[in-house]
Amino acid sequence: MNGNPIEFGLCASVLALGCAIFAVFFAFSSLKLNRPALMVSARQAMYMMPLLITFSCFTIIWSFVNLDFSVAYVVQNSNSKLPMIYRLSALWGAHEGSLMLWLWFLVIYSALATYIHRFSHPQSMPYIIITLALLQIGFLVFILFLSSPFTELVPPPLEGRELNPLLQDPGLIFHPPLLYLGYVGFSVPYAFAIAALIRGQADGEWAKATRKWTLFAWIALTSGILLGGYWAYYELGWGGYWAWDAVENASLMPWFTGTAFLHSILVLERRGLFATWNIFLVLVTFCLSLLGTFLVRSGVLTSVHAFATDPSRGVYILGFLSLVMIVSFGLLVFRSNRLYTPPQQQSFLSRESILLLNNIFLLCAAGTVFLGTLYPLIAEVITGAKVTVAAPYFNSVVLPFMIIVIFLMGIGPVIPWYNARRQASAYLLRKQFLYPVLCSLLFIAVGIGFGIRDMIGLFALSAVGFSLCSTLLDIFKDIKNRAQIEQTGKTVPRSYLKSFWHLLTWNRRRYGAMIVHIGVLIAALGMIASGTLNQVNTVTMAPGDRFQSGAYVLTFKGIEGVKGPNYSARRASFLISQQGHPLDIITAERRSYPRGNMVTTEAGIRSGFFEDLYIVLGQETKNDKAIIRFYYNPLINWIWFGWMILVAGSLLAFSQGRSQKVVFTNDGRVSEGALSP
Amino acid sequence: MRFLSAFLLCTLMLINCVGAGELLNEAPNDTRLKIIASQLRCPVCQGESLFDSHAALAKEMKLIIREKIANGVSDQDILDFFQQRYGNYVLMRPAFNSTYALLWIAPFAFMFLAIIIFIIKWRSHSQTPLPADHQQQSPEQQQNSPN
Repeated sequence: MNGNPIEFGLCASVLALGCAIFAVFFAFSSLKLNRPALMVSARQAMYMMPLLITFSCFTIIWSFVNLDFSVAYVVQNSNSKLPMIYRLSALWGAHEGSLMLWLWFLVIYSALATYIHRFSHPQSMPYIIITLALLQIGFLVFILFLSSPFTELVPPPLEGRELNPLLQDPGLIFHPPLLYLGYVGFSVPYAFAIAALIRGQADGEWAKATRKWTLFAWIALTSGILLGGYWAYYELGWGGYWAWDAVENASLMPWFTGTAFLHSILVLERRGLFATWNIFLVLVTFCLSLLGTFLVRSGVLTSVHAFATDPSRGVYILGFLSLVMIVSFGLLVFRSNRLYTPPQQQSFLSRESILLLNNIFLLCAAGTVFLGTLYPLIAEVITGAKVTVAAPYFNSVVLPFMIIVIFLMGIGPVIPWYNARRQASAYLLRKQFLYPVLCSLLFIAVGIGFGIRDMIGLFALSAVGFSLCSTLLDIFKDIKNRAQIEQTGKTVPRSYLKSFWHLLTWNRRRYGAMIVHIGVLIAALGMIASGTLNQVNTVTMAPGDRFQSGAYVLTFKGIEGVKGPNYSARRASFLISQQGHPLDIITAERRSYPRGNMVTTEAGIRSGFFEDLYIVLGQETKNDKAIIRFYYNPLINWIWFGWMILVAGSLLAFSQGRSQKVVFTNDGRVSEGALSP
Repeated sequence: MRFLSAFLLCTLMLINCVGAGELLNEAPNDTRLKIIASQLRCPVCQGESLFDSHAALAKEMKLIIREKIANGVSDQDILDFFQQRYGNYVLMRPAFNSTYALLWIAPFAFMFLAIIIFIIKWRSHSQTPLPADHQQQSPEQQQNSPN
């Protein structure tokens, strides 16, 4: 001990481990001795955790800010030339720190869940606290004994190494925390699910409590994934945003199952059905989140031999993961018969059956991604052969599942619960889907007109057309009904705009979901167009040369040397003009970071509403010439627009308080009978 | 996302992978090169196709492809050429052979199985009569009910 702040951080973490054990002990004894008063101590231990871990994390950040090279983690990931902003976020720039971030979020979530539900779920609370605290212990033991960011170096070196240059980007500040906020957010629903299994009770109340936590985690995970895609798009210089690589897949799997859960929980909440299925989805989602974190962090996906280089970490990870899975699914198998689901008359043509179908396809997609991601690993272990499962496989298997899900997205929300045939005649259903079908044909025609020949692309387009039309029609019909109701009721004509506003604030969950769907569809349009209609050209250019891309002409102006704070760069400038009018100058760079001995590309991007021009500078050749790659990416920005709409919609749905009473009619809509005369 | 994996690769000293900028300029009639290079995986930057890759090795492989195209070798023969040297591993799209059979069949088998189970369960479920005692509320629900 020499009074280094990081040592206090280590102490705090050790104390936190004690705290977590304390919480488990007291929660357990309150159950065994049947003394609820002991829960007060357990709860207080849970509230202590975030204070201790936040302090620990701050000592690491403090060491980065002050460049304390006696800390091994600081030496590995920063040096005196690293800009301050990246020193602040270097905490999650590598293995040890990112696990620390995981733990940080876990303790914050746990304390919040304990606090919010302390009175509303008194009987489940001991189980919830035990589950969360055991997870915390699992992570703390790993961090303290096998992957410590608190290790000190004696004597300290004079200068540190380099934070991976690819990570030196504003994306680092937001992307990993958002992603982890999503991953870890599923721990609360997971704890609720474990409690429900042990107590044999998963009802509407359970659904209400878990839904919001899941929704929050889902928003964060979705944002994390898309932000990561955006970051990859502008930072990695290959013109795309998604490559189906193992790390991306790891985040996509919990997203699929989490999305499935958000839909199936509606059925549990409303109809009391699928209790076991819902719990299964929560367990799977959380296990996939854990798997994702560990797969990425252990490096096992790059090569099985990563395990061999550091067997203790690998064995611990594998053991922890297996334990979590065995306990979760063991409980599910042995306890699920206690969960009661009232049998009821059901029709295949009902909202609940469509929701379940959506679940099936989302699960198929998750299963495929899982299989594809782990297949090389399994094949290598069994046969010793190295195999590749890459983008073409995922595109041809996962995308069809997603297309079906998008079709269902246009059907589910607009058909009633229970039995569509009984309530709405076949004629009405036909009427409901006439325009969407026409619209989907229109979308195919437009797609062919623009030159899309890819079958999957065309199918996807028709699905998007169908669902977009169906969703918009449904919202419009609701607006019209409401406007009429208000007109007849109050004899004052209200505008459609006003009744739209009323709808949004009246049933925020339903219309929030509709807005999320619209966001997803817009993002899907962006993905389809940029995936099928993009163009790539690689050319050698001398200063003054021109290149025609779409409606634009790009003129190469030349290359100059530039110096950054911790890198030197070659910067190429291009003049973009359209029909002879100069529009803009964009620059593309190649940066070399001498300390990390790495080169990165900074693509030059001109973003527009309808298309992106994307320029990558390749190597320079003789006579000032350079090899340059031009990408033309139509509608790619719609992916991020769609994401913004999605976030807005899900926040709207999230904002609906539990106290607000929603009256449902038999067809599953908010009752407007109360307003009608 | 990708950069995190790129990060992993870089820690394995495959530094050339990202941003090395070793691109190959295109001749006007290089459409075949583009198609073939997109179907092969870069041995250095393992997530990327030869076409997308910036690695020096990828550039050399592309030069080989160009040479073979000029010599009149067919697309399939070029792919086979690389497959012989690098194994199945080098093909981006897994072929339908014994190594990959499970990979292609499992998702669809799983889907059909799930749908069949869904239909059977749904049928049997909706035919069971309602038991009398399912109305009772859980204790937690009672505690929480506003009334």
